[in-house]
Amino acid sequence: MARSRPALPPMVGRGLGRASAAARSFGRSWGRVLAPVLATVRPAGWVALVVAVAGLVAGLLLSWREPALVGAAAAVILLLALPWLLGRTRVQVELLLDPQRVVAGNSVAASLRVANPTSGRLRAVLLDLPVGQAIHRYDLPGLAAGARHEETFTIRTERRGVIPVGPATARRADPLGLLSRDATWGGVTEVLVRPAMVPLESLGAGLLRDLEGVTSDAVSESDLAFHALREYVPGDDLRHVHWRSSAKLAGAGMQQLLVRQYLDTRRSHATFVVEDRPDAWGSPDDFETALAAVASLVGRAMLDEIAASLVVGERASNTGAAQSALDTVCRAVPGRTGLVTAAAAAAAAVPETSLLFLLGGTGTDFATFQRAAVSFAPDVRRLAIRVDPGQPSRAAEVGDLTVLHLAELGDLPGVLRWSLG
Amino acid sequence: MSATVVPRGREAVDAAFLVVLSVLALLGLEPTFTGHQYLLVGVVGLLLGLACVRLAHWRRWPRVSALLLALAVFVVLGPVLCLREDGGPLPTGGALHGLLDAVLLGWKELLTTLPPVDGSGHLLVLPWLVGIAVGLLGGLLLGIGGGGADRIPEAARLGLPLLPPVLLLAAVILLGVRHPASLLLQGIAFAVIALVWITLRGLERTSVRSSRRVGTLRRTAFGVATLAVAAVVAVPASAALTDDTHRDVLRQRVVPPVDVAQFGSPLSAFRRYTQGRAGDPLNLHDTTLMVVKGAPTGTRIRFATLDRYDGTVWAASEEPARALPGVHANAFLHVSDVIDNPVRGRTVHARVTLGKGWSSVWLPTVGALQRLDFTGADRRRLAGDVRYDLETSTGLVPSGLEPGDSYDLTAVEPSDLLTRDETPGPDLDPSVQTASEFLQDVANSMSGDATDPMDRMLTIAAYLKAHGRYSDGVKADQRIYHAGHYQKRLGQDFLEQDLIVGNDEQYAAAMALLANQVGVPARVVLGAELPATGVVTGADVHAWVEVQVADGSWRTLPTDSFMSHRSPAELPPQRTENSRGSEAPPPAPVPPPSTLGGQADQGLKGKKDVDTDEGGGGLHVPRWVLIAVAIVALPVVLVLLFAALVLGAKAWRRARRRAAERPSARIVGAWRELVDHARDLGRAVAVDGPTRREQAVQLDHDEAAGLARVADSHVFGPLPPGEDAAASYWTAVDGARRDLSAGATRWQRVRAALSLVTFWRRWRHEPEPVLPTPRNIPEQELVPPG
Repeated sequence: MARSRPALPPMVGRGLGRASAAARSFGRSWGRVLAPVLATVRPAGWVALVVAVAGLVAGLLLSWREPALVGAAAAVILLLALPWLLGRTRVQVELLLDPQRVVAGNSVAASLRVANPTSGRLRAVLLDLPVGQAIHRYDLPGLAAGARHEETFTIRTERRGVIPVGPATARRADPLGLLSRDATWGGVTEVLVRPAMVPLESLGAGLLRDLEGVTSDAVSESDLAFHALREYVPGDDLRHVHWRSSAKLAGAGMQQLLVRQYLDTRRSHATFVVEDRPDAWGSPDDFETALAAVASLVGRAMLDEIAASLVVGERASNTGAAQSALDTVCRAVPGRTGLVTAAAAAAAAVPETSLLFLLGGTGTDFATFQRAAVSFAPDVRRLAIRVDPGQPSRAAEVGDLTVLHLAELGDLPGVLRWSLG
Repeated sequence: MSATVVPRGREAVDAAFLVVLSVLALLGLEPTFTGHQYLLVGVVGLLLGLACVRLAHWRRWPRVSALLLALAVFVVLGPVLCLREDGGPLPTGGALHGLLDAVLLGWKELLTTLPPVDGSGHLLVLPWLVGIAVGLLGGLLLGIGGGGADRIPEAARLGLPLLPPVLLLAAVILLGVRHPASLLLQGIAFAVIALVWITLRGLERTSVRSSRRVGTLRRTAFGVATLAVAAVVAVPASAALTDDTHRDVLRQRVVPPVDVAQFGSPLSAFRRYTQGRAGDPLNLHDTTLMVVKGAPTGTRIRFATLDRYDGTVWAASEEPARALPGVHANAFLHVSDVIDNPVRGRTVHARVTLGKGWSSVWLPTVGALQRLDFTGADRRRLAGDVRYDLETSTGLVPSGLEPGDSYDLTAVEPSDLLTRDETPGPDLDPSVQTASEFLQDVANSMSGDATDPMDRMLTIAAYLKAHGRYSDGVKADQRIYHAGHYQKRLGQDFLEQDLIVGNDEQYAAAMALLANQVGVPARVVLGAELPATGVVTGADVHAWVEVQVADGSWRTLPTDSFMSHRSPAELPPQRTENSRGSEAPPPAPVPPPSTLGGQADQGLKGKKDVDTDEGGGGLHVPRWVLIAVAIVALPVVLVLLFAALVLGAKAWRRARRRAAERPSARIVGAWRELVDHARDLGRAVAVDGPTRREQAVQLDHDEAAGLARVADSHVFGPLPPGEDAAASYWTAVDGARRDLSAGATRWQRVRAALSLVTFWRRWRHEPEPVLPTPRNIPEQELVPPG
């Protein structure tokens, strides 16, 4: 296209370029001026503005009295809102939350300290603090220079999740909330709400064949835990020849070298993979039950000093740290990933897995569990937990996959003990 | 969030605001309907519309189902609520027809009926429809239907629910009358409640946690004060910004569907009322035209107002001065028994019974009509057909009035006194003025040295009275004074004669033209003055002139002020007159149609009936609607037909495959069904060539491989499959098909349902061989994807 256009004389081209640059910078400077003005208009203010313009235009064009009246009223309240914007809004806000991690049902104590950092008196302003979906509004009193004001409140937690708190916004706004000049302070602090957990017996009691997470059954050529001696075969590392025993044999007349054999030590690592597609769960509550089960297991694993990793949909924690896994429990949301895909991702991200928990709901069948488990090495111990409130809790062992049918969270200790005991 | 049937908390508050605002807007129809049934029906519709959305949400049905529910409610409850009189309360065929009729044509009927319209009849369908629509839309926009409104900007989330009541208000104004129904309700209350709603919606996530209550109280108080100030200021501001007289409403723009011109000029037949020759059967001089009881003696009874002169006759016009700004549209509109006619004056109640001399389309009325009740046997037809023109105060029954018809009327008689110091009104009709130009010289000479228009007109009137002579042209020597008020009769043969001779017809016609010529808007009225007996005969009929004064009202210029009753007989006609008179009397250029002529009326009535049948009184709109409907409907019908054909063909194919004779054929059919479904969805699966297992790979579906294996094992296995195996295989395939569909978007699914790709390479190989034969060894043939 550009080729077919008649070429402009260079002077003109340069002039045009300069003009467009000027226009751009003009636009930018206007943007700089307008942006703060537009920023003062709150959503309700925009609506009022639209109502005012539409009403007045309809009234003028069609000589309709009623829309004109509605539009005029909207215009008047917008005008009356302007004087409220005058004044300064600089405040310093400090937000303290204790504790930041909490089990659902408990409360978080929060305190909000507002200070006037300026040398003048601060007129009363509003302070909005978003807490989760809600916005807490505080009417701050006028503050003298350097004065402080403290508001305390508690955040009640009801269910698992993350409650973002902040940032605090000091507003100088009209009474109807159409316009406001805002000063935002601080960032978002998160309160992580964990699901209610049930106490479990030690996973080590029967669940793990590799006690204390030290050695596995696998024989290794080079490790710490001594297993046995065997005869030397060509290719063995000479470092592992047990000289003393070899010498004894030689003394007995057998020209044979003996080498040491070891047991592979492995750090026990429990990996949890949770189905995240909503249609695989009988109800959203089942998903919550599963996450509560995960949290309980992670809590127990922490006591047993077993590392724990968790993959729920697109959220994963693979550090092995129980705290991190529990945080991931808090952040888990339904998605579209699916158990099989998530398990494959977990197998790649946590290769040291020794114990695998797969969690699914009524929509997850045995085959899906199997397909998910395939991603892991065969020596990984697998357990599937299927949350189905409609059936009594029970455990079934099919091949190398143990499936625990869990009706409710309270049944978890029993089912675990019964299936593994 | 599990929904309850009845909304709670925030949702209930929003629904309440929506209902209140919509009711306020609906109240704008108050002057349009008589009674309050319109409000009841509208509110019921509103609530049911909301309930439909709620029910669909509660049952977790898709949102479209709310629309279908609302449609069902509209159809099922519509007849009970709106059509109790026409069509019956049950949703029978007739009632549905009435419902559809009212939806399609009711708007036109509403607009062409002079308000208020009958508030218990079939026009209630309109508020019913509007109520349901607003409830439905409001519910959906509010998201009490569970709409996920997270992606749209906050301002839109706040403002969108305001849209339905605002649209309703606009619609009510458009369909309403020419003055605001109530500034308090649709203006102040609507504005304040809407603004409060926006404010509350803006704050709904905010909870005040402050320990200090004083701030909250103060803000609330200031908020209320702001709204109060806004309401108080907005009233005068809106008055200053808008002009109610120019209020643009649909009623004003609708072309009235009655063509008054066809009824001709009743003034042309004036001589039927005058002293006629003995034995003339058409003469009505001594015949009773009507009996009027209850009105005071001397009341002017108006037959017709004639406001347009075309050079031949004065006639009633449809739209005399539409081109002029500020003029009320002049139109004969349908009326119910109550007429919104704001005029001050003396109230008159009268009962009119038409006598045997009256057989015409014109409805004799008094003053400015307020209420009209037909009482005779024919009252249903008359009440349905009667039209009234506010501007000329003229009533009309296009299908005709008969002797014996009677009616009660309530009217207000405005003051119609004309004084010399009035200034002429603004609505001078340019066409009449042009038509009166042939009288310019006469007007100039007759008005003498008067300069002010009103002055000149009254001077002319006085001149006519002083110099004019009266003759009905009956006596032998007066036959030269013939009837008519065409230009020549009024000019050469009347005003320009030395001796001006004529009767009411010529005098009133000439007077009105002269008045227009000197700049005073004037029109001719044919009517009667009520005698003391209350029995109006032809002898009481007169024609007088009405002139408009500055405030827009029309004042009477009585016949006696411009016509004398002296007979010309004392003076023998002058020679010039004689010679001119001895010529054959020139026939009227166009024989003016007489309204009172029986035969003409019969023909007219027949014609009118045809017109009425055609579209409920409308002439243009129904045809227009039909064409529009045809243009819209034809492609829709074609598309639907196509869709039905495709879906039907696929269903037939599926049924045939499922019902194949041998179970193994059924299993093969099920597999083909799965492959076809995948191809419909746009997957590139080859047919005719690859084995089922190869196809399964191309199918790209978790269960496909398993299904292919099962099919193979059934078809090639050692034992023929049983009925159960085929049935369970079909179930599995159905599940897989649903799965495939679930992965597609809605649009893809629709396209798949209508896709023709699976018919493409099928014909050759059906019926499908069940066992491999040499003929069936595949040649590799791939169907291009898509």
